Amino acid sequence: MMTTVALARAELVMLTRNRTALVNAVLVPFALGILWIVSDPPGKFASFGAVLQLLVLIAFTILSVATTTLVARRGQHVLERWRLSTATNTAILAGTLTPALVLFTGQATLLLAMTAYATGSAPDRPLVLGIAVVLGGAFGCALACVTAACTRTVEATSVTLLPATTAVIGGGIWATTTAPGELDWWVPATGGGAIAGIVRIGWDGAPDGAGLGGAIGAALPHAAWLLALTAVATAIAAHSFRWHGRA
Amino acid sequence: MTTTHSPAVHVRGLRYDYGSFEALRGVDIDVHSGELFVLLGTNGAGKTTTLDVLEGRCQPGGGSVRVLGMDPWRQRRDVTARVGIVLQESALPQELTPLEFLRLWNRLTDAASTHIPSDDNLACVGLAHRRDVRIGRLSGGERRRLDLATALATDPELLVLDEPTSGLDPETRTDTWDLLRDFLRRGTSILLTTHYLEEAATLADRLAILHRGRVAVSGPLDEVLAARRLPTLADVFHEVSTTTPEEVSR
Repeated sequence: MMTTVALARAELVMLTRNRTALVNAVLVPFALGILWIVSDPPGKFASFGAVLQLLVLIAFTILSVATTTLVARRGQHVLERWRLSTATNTAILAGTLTPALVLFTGQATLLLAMTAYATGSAPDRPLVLGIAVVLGGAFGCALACVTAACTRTVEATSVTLLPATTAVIGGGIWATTTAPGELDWWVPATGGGAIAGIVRIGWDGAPDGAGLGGAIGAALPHAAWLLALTAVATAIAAHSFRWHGRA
Repeated sequence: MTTTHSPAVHVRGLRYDYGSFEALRGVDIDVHSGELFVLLGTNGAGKTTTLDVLEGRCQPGGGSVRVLGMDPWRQRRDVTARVGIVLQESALPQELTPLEFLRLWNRLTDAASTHIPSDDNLACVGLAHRRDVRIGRLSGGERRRLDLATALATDPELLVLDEPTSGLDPETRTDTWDLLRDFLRRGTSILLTTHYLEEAATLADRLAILHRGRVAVSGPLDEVLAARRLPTLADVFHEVSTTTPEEVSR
């Protein structure tokens, strides 16, 4: 645990000293979020805005930053160096990915609160919204490990991130702009679709107006999709992730 | 601690391949406790692959490997807690300073029994005055010295150093030799690779020349020269490295 904390702290310091990473992790998603808020959206679009905020944060703050960090550390042979310490592989990955996760959680909390304030529409079930943030963050980290496994250089991340980013944001928008009853069963399998489903229930409440139990029940299929996708991504990453560049 | 009866490194019949390319074809090496052993060879001879296996980073394709009495592949973290390692490529995070990096390294190696304080360690490799400069702004030679400081940080029983003096100016290289001799006097065993033959001749208690994945020559320098009836290590190296594959396979 101490090694994970020490690594996470060092990674956070490195992130704050890397302007490009900082712009990707903080400035771009935050600017997009603020832009949507100041466009004076009507209250009925609040849940759509919340979905967009969260998906953009997952794409930029987690997927992009975590993938770039892993590929850069591998390119600098730093992952090899950490593996020569007594830290476990899990502790190394957790420490390397934690700063992106912390930034994501902080920004998500702030932007969702600002969205609620700007639209005058508070989320109906904040707990369900919290579940979306936690599961979305875990899914983003697992997906970043898969993307990093397929990426040789930092420059190549702009290409290898495209399919994952498209699936997350595109699937989410697709799910949000489709009536819940008309949603094809496989849309949640894009990851973004499942996140959007949970966020909508968290913000608007369960479709039949049921209480917290009903909302959690309605979110359960989406959560199950996200957990399954996270498990699959973790298994792929465990099999294909490379710690050093040498073949 | 190792004893004189248990070599720091014991390798027999080590094999490793990269797909269809056989990088190691039955390597035999012993590094005795408290000695400095130099591994020589041309590019692609198998030096770095041998060290990768000893460090537990590659699973051997055959043969037996013991480092401080342990199997490095199965007991990687136990081995790395007691072995200081310099990789062939500089392995440093560019955005941290040397002091921040060494302090972090000491925390990541908390299983090691002892740690040299980071400030003392930086002074030891002549980087005290650069302790707060970002690693990305250090020169190549300074980064190499920081790599060495990382290997020394846990006051290890064994040092495995892959070309630790490459990129260093002559004066700093001599300082590094003195530093390694200090560690030898304290009982540390050292296995290093180098392309500098005068470095090997100056430092080595014993040496081996790898050629096409096998040990072609091994022993103390004077015995190697006498056996080959050649006057210098450069002559032996040239003779070995120009051997044809057919001669090697015999």
